[in-house]
Amino acid sequence: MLFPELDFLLMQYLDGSLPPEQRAAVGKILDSHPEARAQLRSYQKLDNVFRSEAPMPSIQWEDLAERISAAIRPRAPSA
Amino acid sequence: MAILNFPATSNLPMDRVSFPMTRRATEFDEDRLVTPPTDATLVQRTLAGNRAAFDVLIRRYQRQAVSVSYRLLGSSQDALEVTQDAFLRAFVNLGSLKKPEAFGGWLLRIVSNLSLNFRRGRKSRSQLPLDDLLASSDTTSANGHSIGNLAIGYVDPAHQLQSAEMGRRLRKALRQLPDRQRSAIILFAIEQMPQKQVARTLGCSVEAVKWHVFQGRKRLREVLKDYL
Repeated sequence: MLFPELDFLLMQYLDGSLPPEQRAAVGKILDSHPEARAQLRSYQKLDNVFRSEAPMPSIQWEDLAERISAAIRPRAPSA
Repeated sequence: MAILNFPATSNLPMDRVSFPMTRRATEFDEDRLVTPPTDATLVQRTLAGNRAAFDVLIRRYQRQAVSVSYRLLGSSQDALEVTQDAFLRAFVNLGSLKKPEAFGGWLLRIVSNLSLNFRRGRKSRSQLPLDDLLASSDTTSANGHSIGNLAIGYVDPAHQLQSAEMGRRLRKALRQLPDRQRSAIILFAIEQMPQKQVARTLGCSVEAVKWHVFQGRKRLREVLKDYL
């Protein structure tokens, strides 16, 4: 079990949102701690699930655009 | 008409060229523009009375709007209704948008808020018959062909079953997350919006977005551990 602080840092590492010094520090931890690497991999897999396994229903986009446009037609934007 | 992007070999006078098309062409047709107009330009032109400019914004953002709403609500029918309502509100309140270039984030904030409100209220019927816009896999004609406009590629049945099960679990797990975590996960991890934009959309700090995503991912990883 990793410290929650490290877990949070690993996720930011994955997202690329750490400043360079912290990124380098987490990189060193990953080099020497298999458990941290396994944790990072599990988050990577989770993100892959998000991207590949969350399908959208098919929509007839042009028809939807036309309907929205038609619904808006009688209105006027505020100045 | 210099904004139209013609092949270099074309020697036809630009004002005499017509295009085969299924809908009315406008000066904003993105497929034909060298440089598509920015959101800021489109907002300003809409406010100046050009409705066609807002139609471009609709086409530019409707997919993301439906996607965000669908993932927040778990119902495509409700997502279509919310999306339509969100565009309507955006249009009517366009003059209150301080930064026209931030239209996308602003719209998605409206979509998110409406979706969360909708979820709380769970209206059971829509004002417009939007069912026919759905071209899901069960929307097939008698001869087995898809009625929808969108092409649906072949998917291996075994993979489809596994994906369907995982998708079902993911949607269920997402529904169980607190609103903020669910919204942050959907916008950042699924829709892949930058954290800054997610923060603007949710009306919180970037640090708060990171925290919500962190908490949400931890929870989802637990629920989906059999698949990871």
